[in-house]
Amino acid sequence: MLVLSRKKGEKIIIGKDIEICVLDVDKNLLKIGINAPKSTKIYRSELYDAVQKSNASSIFTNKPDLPSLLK
Amino acid sequence: MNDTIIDDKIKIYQDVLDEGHYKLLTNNIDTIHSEDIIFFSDGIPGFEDLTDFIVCPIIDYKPFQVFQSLQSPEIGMIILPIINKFLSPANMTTDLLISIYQKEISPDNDIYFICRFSDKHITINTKAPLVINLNTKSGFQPIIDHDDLNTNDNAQLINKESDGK
Repeated sequence: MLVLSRKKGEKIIIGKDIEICVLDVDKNLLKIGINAPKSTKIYRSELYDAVQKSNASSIFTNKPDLPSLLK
Repeated sequence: MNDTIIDDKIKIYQDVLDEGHYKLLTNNIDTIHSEDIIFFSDGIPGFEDLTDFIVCPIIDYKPFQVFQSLQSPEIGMIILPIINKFLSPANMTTDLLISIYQKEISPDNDIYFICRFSDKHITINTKAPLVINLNTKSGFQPIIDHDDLNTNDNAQLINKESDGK
């Protein structure tokens, strides 16, 4: 993993069109701003992890009893 | 993509479908046509390498469909259009949900809940709906970062009198 130190107001450039700026630093909380193309999906990792888990557990292996469940 | 490559791909997909879990709930698909394939360029979270899917209506419960991978026979999920006569989120109205989605999803698309079934109840993923554009035969699964949405929301029956047909 590449590790960089940045101060408030400093930026990191990723590729040619993604820019990350440190907006604020307060104890344990780092606030960052991201400029990226609209097509670039940006998620908090815990959110993405939750959707990954949800998708995995939504795969059906048995036939659900729809007539009873929808009664 | 030229016709030979598409034909080769379809032959492979037909073999995958022969083992597909969709058969638990839907009619067997005898022949896949290229226009049946829905392309997810980024896959979906957890299955980022799976890009090609097909949807098949569930027998007798047509708004429900199986979203079946054409690359992995065991990957199939049950989906339901967000506007339907069976289920809605228990914690909010469908209208409110639509208004939340409208901020991030173009109205050209069809939006589906991914449903999860246990023995006694059904839950739906409102936080990451499945979005399909039937005109472009493409889709994606956005994650809507909204506090009232969850990956495992309780669903309530809309019409208990419905016979499900």
